[in-house]
Amino acid sequence: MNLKELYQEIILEHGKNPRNLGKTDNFNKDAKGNNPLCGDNVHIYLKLNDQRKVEDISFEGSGCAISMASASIMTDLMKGKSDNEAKEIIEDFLGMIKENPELKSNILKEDDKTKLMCLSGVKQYPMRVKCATLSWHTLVSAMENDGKEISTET
Amino acid sequence: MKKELIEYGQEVLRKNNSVKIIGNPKNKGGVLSFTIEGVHPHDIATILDEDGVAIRAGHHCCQILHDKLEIPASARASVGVYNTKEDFDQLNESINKCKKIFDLK
Repeated sequence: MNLKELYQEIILEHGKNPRNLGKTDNFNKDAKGNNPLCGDNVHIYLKLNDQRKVEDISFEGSGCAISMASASIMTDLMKGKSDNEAKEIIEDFLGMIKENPELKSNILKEDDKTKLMCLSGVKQYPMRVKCATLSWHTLVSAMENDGKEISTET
Repeated sequence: MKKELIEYGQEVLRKNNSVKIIGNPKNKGGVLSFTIEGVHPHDIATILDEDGVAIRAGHHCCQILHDKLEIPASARASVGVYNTKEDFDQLNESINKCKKIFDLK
C-alpha cells in the first residue's frame, strides 16, 4: 500500500482548496449526506435547466481530505452534463471504486478521466471508500429529487 | 506504569506545535485525544496506520461532545500493557509525516 497513491498532489490540492464550494443560486435540487461515524458531511446543490442539463452545481460540507477532494472533483466534472450523462458517470465511478480496474464510460474527456482516476488509490484503503463515495451517493439522491438524506451507515 | 506512560505521551504531544490535546483532567485514563489543525482525524489515522501506529478516529461514541467542542472529529491514542515510550516517539514522528504530506508549517 502506498500513501502516495492515495494522497496524490491533486487530491491534496482539491482537499485543501475545494472547487465549487458554496450554495448555488436558484438551485432546484439538493440533498445532504453524512457519515455519522467520522463526521464527514456534505450538502449538494444543483440547478438543472429545462434541457435537464447541469447548469450549476456546488457543495457545502466538511470532512476528511478524501471526501472533500472527491466532492470537489465531482462537481467540476458534472457541470454542463445532462442528467443521464451524470448518472452514467456516477455509476461508472462507483463501479471503478468498488471493483472495476478503470472507468468505462466515454462521456468524460481524457484529462477529466485522469483526474477522476486519481481517486482510484482509495481502493487500497477499504476504510476510506465511504469517504470517496459519499458526495456521489448524495448527488444521486439530489438528482432523483427525493432529496433523501444519505447516510453511510444504513 | 500506565500513568507514567500517558504523562510521557502527553509531554511529547504537547511539544509538537501542530497538535492540540483535548481535555486536561486531573485524573487521566489511558487515552490521549487530539486534533491537528489542517488534517482531518480520518486522514491522520490512515497515514499513521502506514507506520504501524493504530489510533482511533471519529466521534468515539460522543458526537454531542464533538458538537460542543465544535470539531468535526478527533484522533485518539490509547495505551495498554504492551505499549512503551518508543511507541509515543513513533506516534510523534508519524504525526510529523502527516504535517509534511499536508504541507503544514
